[in-house]
Amino acid sequence: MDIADLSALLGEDLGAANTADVWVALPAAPSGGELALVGEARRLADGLGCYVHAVVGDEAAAQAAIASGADRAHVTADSAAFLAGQQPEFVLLPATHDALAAGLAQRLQAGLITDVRGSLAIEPDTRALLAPRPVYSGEYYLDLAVTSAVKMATVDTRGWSAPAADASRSGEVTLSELPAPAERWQDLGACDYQPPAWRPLSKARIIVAAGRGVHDADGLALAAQLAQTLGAELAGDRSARDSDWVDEAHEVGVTGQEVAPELYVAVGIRGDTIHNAAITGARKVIAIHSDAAAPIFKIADVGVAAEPKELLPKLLAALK
Amino acid sequence: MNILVVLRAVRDPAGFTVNRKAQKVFINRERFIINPADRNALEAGLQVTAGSVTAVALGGETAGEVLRQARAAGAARAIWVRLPDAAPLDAGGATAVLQRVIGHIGSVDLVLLGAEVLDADLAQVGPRLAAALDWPFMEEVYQTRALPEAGLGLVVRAAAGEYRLASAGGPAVAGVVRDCNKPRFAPAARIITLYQDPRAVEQLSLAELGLDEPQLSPATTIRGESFPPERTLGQMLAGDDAPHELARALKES
Repeated sequence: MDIADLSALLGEDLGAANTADVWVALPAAPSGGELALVGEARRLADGLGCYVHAVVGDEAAAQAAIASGADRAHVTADSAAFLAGQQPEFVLLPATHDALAAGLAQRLQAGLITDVRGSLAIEPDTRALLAPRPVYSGEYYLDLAVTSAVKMATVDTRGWSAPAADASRSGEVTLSELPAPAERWQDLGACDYQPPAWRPLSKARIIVAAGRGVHDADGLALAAQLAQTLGAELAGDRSARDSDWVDEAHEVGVTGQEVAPELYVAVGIRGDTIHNAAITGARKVIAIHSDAAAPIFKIADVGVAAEPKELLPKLLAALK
Repeated sequence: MNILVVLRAVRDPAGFTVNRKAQKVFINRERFIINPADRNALEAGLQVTAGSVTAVALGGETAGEVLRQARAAGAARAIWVRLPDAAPLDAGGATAVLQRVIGHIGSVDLVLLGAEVLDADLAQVGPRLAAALDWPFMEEVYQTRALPEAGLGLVVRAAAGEYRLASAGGPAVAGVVRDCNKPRFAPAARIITLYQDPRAVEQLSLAELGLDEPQLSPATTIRGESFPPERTLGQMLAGDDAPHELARALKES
C-alpha cells in the first residue's frame, strides 16, 4: 500500500497537505534519469512523512511519475505558472531547466540551488534543504543550505538510471486548465553569425596538449608531430599559453577550455589544479613528464616518467 | 539603446589549488578576475555600435576593480554598488539590488550577464531578474545586434545548430555564452588613468537604492566545501620498452 492509499483510507485530503510536500517538475517526455528525480523526491518525502507531487506535461508522463514514486501527478501546459499557484515547500527540477527554475524561484521568493551533484538532504530541525553544487568546473563543491519558506533545487540527473517502475502504484492525476505560456520572442530568421574561428577543443575527440616540460620550439614540434600522427588537436596548458605556443582557444584549463575528449595526451604538463579540473571529462588520460612526482600522474590512466624530448622520437617511431 | 552589463569578480583559479586528499582549498594568491562569461557579455554589449554600455558590479574593492577594467575596455558608464566583501549576496539579494539599479538608471533596453559563473551559484540571477522585471529572458545568446528598424536583436542557436536572430520587441535580459566572442583588450595605461579619475566609477550605497541589509538576508548560505573523489593513477610505464607499450596504449585508445 502506498501513502496515497493510506491517506484515502484515513479520509485525508491529499491536496490539503500541499504546503509541506515535495514537488517535482518534469519536462515533456522525461528521460529515465529525470524520472529518477521522482524517486529522490520520494526518499525525501518518506523522511518527512509527506507526499510527492509531480508536475508534468501529459498523461503518459503522469503515469510514469506515479509508477516512479509520485502520489499525485498534475498535468499542465505551464508548469511554472501552475507551481507558482501552489505554495509548495520543496520543489525539484532537472538541471536542464535551470532558467525555468530560477524564474519560478523569484516568483515564489524561494532560495534555489542549481546543478546539484549527488544527493539532497533535509535538515531535521530547520527543514533546510541541503545540497552540494560544483564550482570552478567541478574542482570542488560548495555545500549549500536553503532556509527560505520555499526551497528549490535543480539536480544534474545525467548518469542516473531509470527507477524501477512499480505499475501497481496508484495515484491521482489532475488536469490543469492553464494555457501554454505565450512566446515572448519573435524569430527574425537565420543569421550570418560565425563563432570565433577555431575548432572548439571541447568537441575534439583526441587532444595532444603540451606544457612547459617540452622546453622549447623543438619539443613543441615533436608534440605537434604526435598530434598529427594521432589525428589530434594540438593544445597546451596555461604555461604554453604564457609562452605563446597556443592561443586562448587552445588553452586547456579552467581559465581556458574545458575538454572531454576520448583520449587526452599530456606532454610535459605538470598538471596543476586548474589544468586537471578541466580534463575531468576525458575518457582516457596519457601523461608524459620528466618528474615522476608531477601531479598529472595522479590522474593519468597511463603515465611515463621520461623527458618528452627524448621519449617522443622513440614513440613516433613505434607508432609508424 | 542602453545596455546594462552585469560583471562579477571571481577568484582567479590560478591563485589557488585544491587538494582533494586533504579536503582543502589552498589560496596561494589573492587575485580576482572578471568572470569569464561576463567578459563575453561585456564584449557582446560593446559590439553594438549604436548602443551605450553601462557596467554594474556589486561588492567590495574587487567589484570596483572589474568596473575600471570595463571602463578601460570601452563601457561608457560604470556603477559600483558598494557592499562588504565579507557578506556576499545570494542570487535573490543580487536580483533585488539589480532591479533597483535599473530603476535608478531609468532606461535600460537590454541586460546582459554571463550564462555561467565560475565560483558561486549566481548564474540564476539573469532569469530571476527577468522574472522580477517581468521581462523575457533568453538563455544562451551569442551576439547582440542593433536591428535596422529599431531595437536590439539577439543571436541564438536553434536546435538544428544554425544561428537565428530573435527579438523581444522590448526590454529583455539575456545570458551570454562563454567564448562566443573574443573580448577586447583593456589597455593597462587606461586602467591606471581611470584609477586617478574619481568619477570613472559611480558609487551607490544600498541606502541610496532604498534597500537595507536585512532586506537582502540570504535564503541560501554556504555551509562548507566538499570534494569529488580523486581520479587515480592507472599504470606507470618504465624501461626501454616504455615507448612501445605507450604506442600500444595509444593505438588501443
